Amino acid sequence: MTTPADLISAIDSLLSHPAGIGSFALANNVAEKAYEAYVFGLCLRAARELGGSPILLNIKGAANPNPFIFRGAPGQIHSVHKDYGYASFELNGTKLEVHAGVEFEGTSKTTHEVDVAVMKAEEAERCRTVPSDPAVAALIGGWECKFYGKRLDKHLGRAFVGLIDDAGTVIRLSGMCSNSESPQLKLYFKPQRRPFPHFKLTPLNKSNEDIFVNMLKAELKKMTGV
Amino acid sequence: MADEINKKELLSVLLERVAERYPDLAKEVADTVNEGKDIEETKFVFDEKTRRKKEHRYRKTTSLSDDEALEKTVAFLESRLVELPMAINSAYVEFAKCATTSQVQSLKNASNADIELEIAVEIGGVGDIVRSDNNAFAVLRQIPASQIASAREQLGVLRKLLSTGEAK
Repeated sequence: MTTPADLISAIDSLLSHPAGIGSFALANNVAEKAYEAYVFGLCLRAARELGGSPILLNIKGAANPNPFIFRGAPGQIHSVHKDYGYASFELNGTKLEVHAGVEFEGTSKTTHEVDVAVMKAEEAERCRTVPSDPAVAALIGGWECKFYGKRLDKHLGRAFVGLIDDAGTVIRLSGMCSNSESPQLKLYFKPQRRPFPHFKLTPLNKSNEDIFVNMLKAELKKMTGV
Repeated sequence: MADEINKKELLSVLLERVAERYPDLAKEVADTVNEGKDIEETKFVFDEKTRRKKEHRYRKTTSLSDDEALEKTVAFLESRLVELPMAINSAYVEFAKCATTSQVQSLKNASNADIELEIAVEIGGVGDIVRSDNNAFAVLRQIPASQIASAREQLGVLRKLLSTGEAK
């Protein structure tokens, strides 16, 4: 039989656990950005498994930036507001970059934030030199990342599908990544050219991690011929 | 026994306790519980064409049972105490495998090779003029695997306590 005292003691132990709700509850966007860092890391893994050697850089071109900074809000690829980090790698002579929280320009000229993106380095370099938003056409893969305790809202899926639609026919890979899931969104993403539902994508689910990495590897292989 | 409590009370104690420490988090948990669930219902309806009763399935949103609400609350805490630290650790592992400075000497300003990498999240954004500390960052803290294991263990204890709460 459970008494209030038993329960309070168990909850208090959890809430003050060093694994730490406290450290992540301070800022609303931290959990979400931490999840972006995780998905960013999976992109690095895919590049490495194909024989690439990703390098961490900051906006000024310095290698191994420390700390490696993730944007707190969507921003421009050329922004020097902070030393935002990105990664660069090369496969079979094709230069590519991984970014987080960068805005891309769609075919309608509207800008769209892509939480984690693998893109052509040439376009990224151009947009850093002559400040502008990269064209969605430069995207190899774009992922929306949501770390949620609750069910994913449908409007998130609709917004992301809108982005993909504005990308025209060029985007190779897109997906919605979340530790959570939504049966309704799964249905919504079923038609061709809709984002792939990378639901329950967490370190607790290795097979879902492998699906993400292998899908990216397959596209990179096709594109670079490695 | 006077101090035995039912499932509804267990949920209430759980949420109150979370709210005392982390009000924002408690609100998120409450929203999660209150979103309910989708179920499929079946109803027999009269079909004009065939002049017969026909099975009709439809989706319906309904509230969670007390057991489901408790499980959802614990799952929410698990996402913060286990999944998030594991995701951060995973990012650190992948970032650490990136080429070291010595391999990229041709790049300018290569530095910090000997300092342990920190992954940080900017608080706010470029347009943020209200916040007083414009240079605020949250460094993502790596959590030792042993602590994550212990959090999982304590979640197990909580789950067990909640499952044995006696319904009146």
